[in-house]
Amino acid sequence: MFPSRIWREMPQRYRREASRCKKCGKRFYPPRLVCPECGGRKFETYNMPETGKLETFTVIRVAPSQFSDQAPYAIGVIAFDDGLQMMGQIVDGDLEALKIGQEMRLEFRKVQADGTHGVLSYAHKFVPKWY
Amino acid sequence: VFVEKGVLVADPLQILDCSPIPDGAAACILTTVELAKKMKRPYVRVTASAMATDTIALAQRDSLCWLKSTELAGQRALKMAGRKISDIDMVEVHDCFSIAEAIVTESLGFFKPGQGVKAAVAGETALDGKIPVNPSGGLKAKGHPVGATGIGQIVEIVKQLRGQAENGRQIKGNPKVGMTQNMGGSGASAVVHILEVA
Repeated sequence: MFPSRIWREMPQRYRREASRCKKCGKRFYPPRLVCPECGGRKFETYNMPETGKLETFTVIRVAPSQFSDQAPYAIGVIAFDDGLQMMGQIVDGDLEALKIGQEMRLEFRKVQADGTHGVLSYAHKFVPKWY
Repeated sequence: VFVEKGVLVADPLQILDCSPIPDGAAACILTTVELAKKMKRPYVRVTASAMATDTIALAQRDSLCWLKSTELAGQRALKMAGRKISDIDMVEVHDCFSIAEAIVTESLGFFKPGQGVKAAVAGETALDGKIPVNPSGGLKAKGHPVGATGIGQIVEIVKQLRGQAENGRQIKGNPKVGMTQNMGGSGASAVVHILEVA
């Protein structure tokens, strides 16, 4: 199978899908096999919320080679309203105006063109809410 | 954090906050105390070897200002060696970035949460400080040849315990108990060793 097809067929890649531990209720994205909180092995998938708050962030100024054309760009941890936390790139905002605690919206955006055939890959990214 | 001027890599870390990744090598010989005695060569004892893990994803951790894997591995190592944190005479820690040293020294229990940077600035981690941290220079000053870094830490503690550290970095007062802390995956796994004089 082509790597790009494996990528596309991972359910959590292109859906707003996180998992919740059936035993203790802790939420995760991406999904896990074992809950680090309680050791539980049963999870249910659920639709993650669309909005959350910026928990912390940094601005990457020296980037890995495949992202060097995007630098400087921001990476942040977003805390959703239901307690789920997730890391992702922050786009469409003014880097200087980013503030811890500000509201963010989850979107799908292009990440990169993969390999020699330039297959496009997409992923979750975050946009400051007023944009 | 510690560095005021230079090229920003990822706010607030400047290039001199980041350890350089050079080439390097390190080796040690592991054997039983009985064999070491027969060989009539100076040796030190490994009194603890402990590991612990955490999630790789930073967003899934309880705190971004704490390294739980390092805390757990440190506690396990102290228990294994029958030591308290105050028994440790010096420690080599994985300061891949300047901030990592502070979080590690706090997570191991040498300083209270949030006090690691202040302690370092006050000289408590210097060669003649309360707890010398990274007498070798650490990853930041000595370099971080990734595969050799962990054994490099052991080599430094062995030299310190034998009183053979070069270039004026030997810790005074005959140190007897040393600790090393190594980690990978931004602290997803951590390993702590305790070495003691023969």
